[in-house]
Amino acid sequence: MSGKENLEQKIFTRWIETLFETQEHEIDCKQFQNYLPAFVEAEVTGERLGYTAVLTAHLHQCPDCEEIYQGLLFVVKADLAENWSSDTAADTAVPIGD
Amino acid sequence: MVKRSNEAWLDALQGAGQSQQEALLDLRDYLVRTAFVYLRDGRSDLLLLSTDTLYEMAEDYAQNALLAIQDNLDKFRGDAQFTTWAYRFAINEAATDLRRRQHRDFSWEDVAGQETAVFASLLDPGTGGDPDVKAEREEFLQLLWQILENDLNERQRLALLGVYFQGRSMQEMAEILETTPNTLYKMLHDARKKIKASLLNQHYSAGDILGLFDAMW
Ligand SMILES: [Zn+2]
Repeated sequence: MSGKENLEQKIFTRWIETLFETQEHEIDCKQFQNYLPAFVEAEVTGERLGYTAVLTAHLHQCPDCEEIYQGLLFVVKADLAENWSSDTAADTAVPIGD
Repeated sequence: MVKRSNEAWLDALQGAGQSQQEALLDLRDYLVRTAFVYLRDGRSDLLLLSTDTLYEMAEDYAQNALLAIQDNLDKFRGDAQFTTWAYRFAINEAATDLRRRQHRDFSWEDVAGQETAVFASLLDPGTGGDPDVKAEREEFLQLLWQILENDLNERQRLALLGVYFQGRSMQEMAEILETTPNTLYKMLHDARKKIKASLLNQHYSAGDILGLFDAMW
């Protein structure tokens, strides 16, 4: 099996899956981005919001929003781990901008 | 740096004088840090760039994010930490710029040929194997091709091809189609609904289709 066939299989399989995940009503990118900060925080704390399913549905269909979601999740976790936005942040966090 | 509640951030940023200046400086620091950590550790495509370069990029993204945040303060809903809301602007700035750098050449002349080639390679029913299965595959592919041709307009087919088959970003595809990513999303949603409905109408489920092609790969 060649790499090309693998890639085509991946693309085709993913496309069929997302196609059938299509909902009659989906939120658009603007709506998704409005809910994103709370969604990411809920993800970090393990809380489940009432609108999680709607947001997840958009994520599966939209590569750009997926990218923003992954990025925000990453930095919010880093903030929590290194305590940036608390008053103890200054000395423990990433040493930049001196 | 002072720790602030959401209310304190808003009061300071919407206010004036020294407390506003301090809040802006603090927020800028947060945004630079956020953008830098995202570029350095949160992405796998920038490993070859130096720390200095990444830091300069982070400063630019933070500066743009800061302006966008000031323009959008009245839209903060208070359903998350103010900093989480603000970080979104920094990530957006970075991701948007990095996507733009990855945009590939695109010419309308190539599209027709490319469209046919991509679908043809994906939709090749394959050789060998069970002739019955092969015939079923062919039948499905003909149906799919018909749906794409008849139910979608040219822009929808192009959007579908670019985003799902060529892996272009919504942003890049939106620029090609001279629309916004938000409108593109709606266009694709409409296209997905049509294709899904037509396939279900012909009694195809996702499992049926993937099963049909399983042995081929
Ligand atoms: Zn989106």
